[in-house]
Amino acid sequence: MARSLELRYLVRPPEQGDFRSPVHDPRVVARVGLFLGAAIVVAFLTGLVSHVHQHPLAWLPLPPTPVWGYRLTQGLHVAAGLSAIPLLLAKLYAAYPALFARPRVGSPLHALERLSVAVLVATAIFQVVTGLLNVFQWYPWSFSFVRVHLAVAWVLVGSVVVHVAVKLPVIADALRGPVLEEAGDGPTRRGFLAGVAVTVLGLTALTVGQTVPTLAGAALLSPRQAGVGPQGLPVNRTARAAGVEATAADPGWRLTVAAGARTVALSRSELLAMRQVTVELPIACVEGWSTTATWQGVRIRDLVALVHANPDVDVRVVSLQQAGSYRESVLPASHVAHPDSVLALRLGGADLDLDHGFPARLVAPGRPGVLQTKWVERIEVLG
Amino acid sequence: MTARWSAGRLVLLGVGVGLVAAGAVIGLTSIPQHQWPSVLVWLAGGVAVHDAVLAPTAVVLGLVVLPRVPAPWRPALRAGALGAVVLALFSVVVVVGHAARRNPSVVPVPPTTSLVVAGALLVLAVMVGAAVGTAAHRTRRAAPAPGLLPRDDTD
Repeated sequence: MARSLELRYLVRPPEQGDFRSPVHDPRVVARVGLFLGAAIVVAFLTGLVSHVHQHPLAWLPLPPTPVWGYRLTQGLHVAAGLSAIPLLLAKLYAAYPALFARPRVGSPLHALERLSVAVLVATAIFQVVTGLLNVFQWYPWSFSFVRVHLAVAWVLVGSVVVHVAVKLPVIADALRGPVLEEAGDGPTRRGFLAGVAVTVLGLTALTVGQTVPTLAGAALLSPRQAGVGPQGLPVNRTARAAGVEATAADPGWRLTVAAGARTVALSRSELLAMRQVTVELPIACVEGWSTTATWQGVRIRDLVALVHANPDVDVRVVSLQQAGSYRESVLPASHVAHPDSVLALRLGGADLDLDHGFPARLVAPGRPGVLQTKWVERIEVLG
Repeated sequence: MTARWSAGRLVLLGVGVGLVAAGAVIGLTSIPQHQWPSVLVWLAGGVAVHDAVLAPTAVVLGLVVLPRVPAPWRPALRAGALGAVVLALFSVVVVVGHAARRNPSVVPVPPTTSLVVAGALLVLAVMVGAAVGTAAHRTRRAAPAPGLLPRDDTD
């Protein structure tokens, strides 16, 4: 009675040899691991792009072009991170018997190897789960998501590299060998790999529409929908949440442009009387959603020219918000000089909605949405 | 550890250890100490949930269910179980994300719509996979290759 023999394993802790399915095979583990590793590396590198945008490095200036660059990298970041969920589950399932390998700890080196795998598994699960919760804006923990996500990302990618170094001969052998090697293997391994591929593609199809317009209609499981929000654009922080409902709607609002002691104050009607430009730019979020919109407003470089002869300068853009991590942002000189960097006054032919930054907001190419400062009250020339 | 530690592998190992160390330094210098317990709980909690709940459940399901279904259905059912775990995870975040959303543009599709449709697509995909597996099995049986006899592939 084969079944009763198998069920017998349930009454004692399993041994590695108890797992007899062909799925638990290095040829499967290595192939799933290859794609999982690629997803982790893509998520790591694209995550670093966003980090450098928010914490600029003098030796690594990020250009404003291509204007879709940030949209692409952050769409990839979240798509890779989400695809890592089924890939990680499949990898852990295929490699699960190794958890019960004996000896548990053979030597100090073996102990280190097992410790590195434990770190790899813990950080991988941590990153995909907390990343998923973050894109749905759910934070059931008491740590700073951004700081921890960054630190754990380095540990995770380092653990992947260590794991590859340790397992390289096994991986090489496994990838060189065909999935179906022995007579009688049947379609199990190939079927498992096909099932993982279909699951990854299906999940991607149901989520990536939050940044890929042609798949917007299928984005059932994404936290944002293209076209849903005031003026057809999703909102991250509302005017109410930012505490600016009264100050932003105040008819006495003035924009101050300053370069040292030299300042100019402009009302909204004075800004509207300046030369207006129309630009097509996305609001691209690190959470993976992006929506392109048509903005009208005044070029940042035209505003800088009111107080400063040289437009090749960094500027600080300050919001009416009194608190919050993103109440101000620095626009690098390369962005200031770009003709598509505007202080937007209108969106899609109508005045900006209060939740989109009325009376004026920054919109510049190739920047994270959180740095497209809303409810702007001051632009300062730096240096 | 496997033998044959070439120079390339050692370099790779060094790079990996360096990246882990960089992460540790970044974490220790940027994350306030009072946040560490929460980080550790989430790091350990994910492993515990996977190793003690998800993986054993998958193994037991495989042990109990797969021997009782035709062999050609098994790959589709395995993939269906994988998809079901992913969808269950999404179900939690979609429901909570929708209920606690900060404004109406966050998780705008009602969970009753998105999850029911996604679940139906999952069931449909499993049925298609089982049908494809069955058709492929019939093709193989019509022209059996020497030695390619079916074998018990249960967990």
